[in-house]
Amino acid sequence: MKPTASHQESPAPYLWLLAGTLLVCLFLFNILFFIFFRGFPALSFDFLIQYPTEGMTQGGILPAIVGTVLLTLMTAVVALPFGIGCAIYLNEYAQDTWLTRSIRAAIRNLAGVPSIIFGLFGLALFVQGLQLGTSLLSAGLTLGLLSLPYLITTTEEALKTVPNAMREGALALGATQFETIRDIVLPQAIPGIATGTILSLSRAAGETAPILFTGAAFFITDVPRNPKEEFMALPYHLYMLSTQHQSIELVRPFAYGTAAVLITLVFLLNLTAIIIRKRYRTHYQ
Amino acid sequence: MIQIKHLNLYFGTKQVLKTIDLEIAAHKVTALIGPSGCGKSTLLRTLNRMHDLTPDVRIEGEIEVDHIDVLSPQTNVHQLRKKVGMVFQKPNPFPKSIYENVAYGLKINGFAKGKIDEIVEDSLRKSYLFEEVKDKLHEPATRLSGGQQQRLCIARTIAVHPQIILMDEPCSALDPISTGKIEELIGELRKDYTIVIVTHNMQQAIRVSDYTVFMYLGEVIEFSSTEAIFQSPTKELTKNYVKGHFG
Repeated sequence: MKPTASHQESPAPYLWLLAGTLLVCLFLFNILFFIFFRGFPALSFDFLIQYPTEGMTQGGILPAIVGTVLLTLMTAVVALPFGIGCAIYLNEYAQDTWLTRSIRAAIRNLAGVPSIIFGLFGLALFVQGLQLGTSLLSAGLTLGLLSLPYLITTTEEALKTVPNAMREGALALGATQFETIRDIVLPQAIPGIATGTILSLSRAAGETAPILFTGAAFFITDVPRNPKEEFMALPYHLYMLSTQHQSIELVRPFAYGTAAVLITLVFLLNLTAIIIRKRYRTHYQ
Repeated sequence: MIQIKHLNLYFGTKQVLKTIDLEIAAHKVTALIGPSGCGKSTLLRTLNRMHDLTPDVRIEGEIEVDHIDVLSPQTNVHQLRKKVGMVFQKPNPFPKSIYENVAYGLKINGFAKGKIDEIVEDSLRKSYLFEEVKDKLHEPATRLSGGQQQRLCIARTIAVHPQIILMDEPCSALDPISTGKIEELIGELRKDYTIVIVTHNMQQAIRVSDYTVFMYLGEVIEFSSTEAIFQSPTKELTKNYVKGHFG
């Protein structure tokens, strides 16, 4: 029997998938090109290392860069111990009960909560309730909370990729469960955990809403010297230059320049994640 | 060496092991045979309490290993597992170096570095692996062949000086040549250790074991010397199984 026309591979699904992929890439490149093209006039070494002057129409964005870096570090300090600890508990220790099932459901739902809600929560709990004021600390705690669901989920996924045979091998030698996790499970999960950590931090670094009420400042003349001070941050600075400034047209190149710096920072973080993953992959094979 | 009395095991409501009574002799190789799902691996994993981490397991009865009450919650399970080592179906070396794999069990027991080097070499020699790996002790164990990996897992197990070695179909993932080497190794190891081996391969049971336990649907049907089981089984079920009428 001859194959009929319907038995031939139709090119339509392939073309459709290809078109979708190209379209997405097109948008991405368009955005990148637009930002770097418009921001180019503002970008210079001085832009990176100077304080803003003349109502932010001159100078650079040093405090915003330093603020974002410090804020990201603070977020990491808050989120890592709890997030990784929680994932280890859920994946390695917790039995499958209604309690752990509801914890997991809560974590999944938290990941979907809009970031402005986290901002308001941070304002109520950290700024007002715990009297931490609008500060690097309050904002770091708020962003830490925001990162937790994502961090827990990716860490758990990384732990799940470690085959059970590895755990059994260690336990059969008389290792305790803690020793098994410390010596066998975690080293194998580290590339996945590191990648998840960095990606969740790079997402947090770009957030505006959660720091809006909890610590980001419109304009300060110095970088923060302690966690109780307010700070400038790149995403907030960008938001402000593009919507709140009294002469928006004048500072537009600065806004694009700030966007370009933020994107570059996030890109560098993601690049680190890729390098770590590649390193470990070659190390173990 | 191992005494099993009235052992019942349930996964949820399903009874997997039914009133098992066995006495396993020291310094002998005992093979557990039977069709898939007969409970032979489940029985093996009861002996070093590998079921501890499985949810919904209920075990009744008594197991005694060298005067230790295995199933008692007061028993230190980590001490027990050092006495009762285990080799798994698929070779499962840790993604560490060959040396680190064998040294791991010693490190968690706080052996001194010099002592560890000595035992690692000794264990690799006993598992006929040393000559093949002596120049690459610090290379990843995952680069070894499947058969070498399994011998490494045996070396790792004997490094902590167990009295009993449990083997759960240790050759089922290996080619015939590697299988031959492991069987030869089992022949050597029986001098120093009590070995319980689960196998679905009856020829293997004949080649390596002194005693054979035939299990069917969670029960021990017949337990005798390997020769008796295969030459003159007393039960009809055993006869049909070893002649290959079902399996």
